[in-house]
Amino acid sequence: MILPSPKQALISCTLSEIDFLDRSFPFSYGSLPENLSTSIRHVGILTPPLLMTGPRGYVIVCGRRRLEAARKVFGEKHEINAFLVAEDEQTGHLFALAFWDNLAQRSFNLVEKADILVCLEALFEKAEMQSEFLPALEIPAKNRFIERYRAISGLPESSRSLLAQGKMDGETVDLLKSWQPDEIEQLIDLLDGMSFNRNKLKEIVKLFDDLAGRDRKTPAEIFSLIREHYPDCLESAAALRRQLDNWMFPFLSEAENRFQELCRSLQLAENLRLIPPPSFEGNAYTLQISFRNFNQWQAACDQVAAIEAEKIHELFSR
Amino acid sequence: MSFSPVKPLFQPEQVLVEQDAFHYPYTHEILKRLPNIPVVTIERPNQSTFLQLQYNPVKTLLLMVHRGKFFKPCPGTAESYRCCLYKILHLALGCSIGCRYCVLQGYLNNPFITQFVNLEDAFRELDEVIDGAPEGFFRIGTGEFTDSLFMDSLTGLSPKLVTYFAGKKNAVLELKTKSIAIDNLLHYDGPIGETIVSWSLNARTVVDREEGRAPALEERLKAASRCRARGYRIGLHFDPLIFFPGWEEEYAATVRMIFDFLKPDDIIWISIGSFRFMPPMKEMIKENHPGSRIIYQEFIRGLDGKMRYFSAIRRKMYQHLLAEMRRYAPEVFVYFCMEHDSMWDDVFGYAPKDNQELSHWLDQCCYRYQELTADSTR
Repeated sequence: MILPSPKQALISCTLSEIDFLDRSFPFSYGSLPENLSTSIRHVGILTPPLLMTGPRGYVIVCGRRRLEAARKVFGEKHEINAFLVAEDEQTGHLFALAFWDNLAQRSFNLVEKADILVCLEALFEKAEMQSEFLPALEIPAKNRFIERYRAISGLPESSRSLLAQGKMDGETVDLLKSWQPDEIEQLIDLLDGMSFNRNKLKEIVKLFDDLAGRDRKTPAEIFSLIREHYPDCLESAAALRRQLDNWMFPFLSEAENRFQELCRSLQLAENLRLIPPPSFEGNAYTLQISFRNFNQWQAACDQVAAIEAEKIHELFSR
Repeated sequence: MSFSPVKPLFQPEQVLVEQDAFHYPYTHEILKRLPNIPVVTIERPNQSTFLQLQYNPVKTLLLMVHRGKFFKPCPGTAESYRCCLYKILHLALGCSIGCRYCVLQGYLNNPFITQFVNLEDAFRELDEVIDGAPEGFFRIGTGEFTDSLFMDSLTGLSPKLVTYFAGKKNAVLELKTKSIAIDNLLHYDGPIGETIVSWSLNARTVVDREEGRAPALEERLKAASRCRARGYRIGLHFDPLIFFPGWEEEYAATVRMIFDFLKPDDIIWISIGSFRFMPPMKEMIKENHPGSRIIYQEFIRGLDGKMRYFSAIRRKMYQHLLAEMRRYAPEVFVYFCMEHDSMWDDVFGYAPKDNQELSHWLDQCCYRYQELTADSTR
């Protein structure tokens, strides 16, 4: 069914008359694409945004990014044309209009999806959510996923920002669901200045979560212990992860260290590599030989033949 | 030894009965034991998601017809770890004991505790398999997707199984349980063949914290001793071993306690396996049992994709447990459930060369196997 167009009138207003803080229609979150600002600078806003009357100024129904770009380029006093919807229009109707209009133009990031989902749930019946909106948002109609998006909607801004930038993923949100908001803020503080991608972040969060679970502490207590006892590891994400690994996996770390020591004592040439079984599970070690000519092959074989048997026995002594 | 009446571990508040299930006498037999419980007839229950919105899975018994295979190989991950080639008789699904580590939380797509009622079909299928391979030997259990006895007072299943297996020379039945619902087994006056009743045991802290409504260790071992007195052979399973502060002393205490109730000769076998789970189960345990700490340990992804303790931890636990067992019962056959050859070597000093050999070792523990092989060489 095609939604009826809202009753609307074309008006002129300055950007200062718009309440940018109102997020009743939260269709955009995150930084503006540079090319949008460039376009606005050259041609202004071609399609008038849709506004409604609100208590502190006009509320943006549709066109937030265009308006934000115009404010950034031209300043608050810039005048624009906009459609103002009639005051008796239903919010649900307007929300649905704005939803389908936005969806036609771009895909939503995780935070936008989450904020939209929460609004939709308040405005529409479950059946309509399942048949129309969830498929459009590409959110599986399973509790696990819906809970994840609800959690995103309530996360502190620092972590929402990471999500919008693609530096955090949904599985990390699942881990953070049981954390307090201030613990999440502390985590982001702790990681400030470190370079990490979303997989590294997930591993770090998982390690903090596991350590807190194992030692019956809160994540905040684990952060304090890290700051107090291992301040050096806060220099980089890799160092932090290494430290957390050592702490969470003492037996495995010891085995890894022992193996590295043994490899060093073997003094293998660069083209020889001894590889342990993954996580030292089982006893299938691999010796990898790389060679480009017969001489390299021969040298590698000679070196292998010269390895002391005792050293290899050491691999299997536990 | 005094024994008070056993409170059932499962008391359904309603029974869902699939329409077709009414054709089977076993359905009526079970319903007779639940005289005041509302019965709801349903069509073929392939809409379990919908049904669980209407009926609380924890308080509902589902009686239905099983249309697939009853006889299955144990879902061991045979390639990477040694598997004893156990066979499963699939007669029921689910359990109300509520162990926090239970693999069934992530395994079943049917949320209801379910009893299959077409036993005739099950026995027919078993006949085909067992009688069809007279030279073969089968160790068969019912406790893989359920606890073998937890609702036996409602289903009265155990005597039927014991009767059936008593008549089979090349098969033994193992009933694995944490419950103490042994009345049917004790009062059964027919031949029991070589039926094995097995108890899952653990450290006291694990029993108290992680095993839901399961009876205490002493009660399980008392029940084992009564079953032994009635002539059943007794199996014991330390699976899953859980790593926690104080595990050494607590597992030693459990081993000590075994021999307060049983003699070494009473025990046909003891299996040991460490806690392992498919990765998605971590989230399920976290969500279903927020107070449980068992998922926060030094787990690695094993060769079969399951999470398990790092090998050094497993080795340490196994060596300790085995040493304790050997103090009391040097001759009892102890084996690993799903462990690597290298772990067998490290702990036992030997390893089965393949799954067949491990299976053969377990078969040899059974008198019936000895008789069978003696007959064939005569």
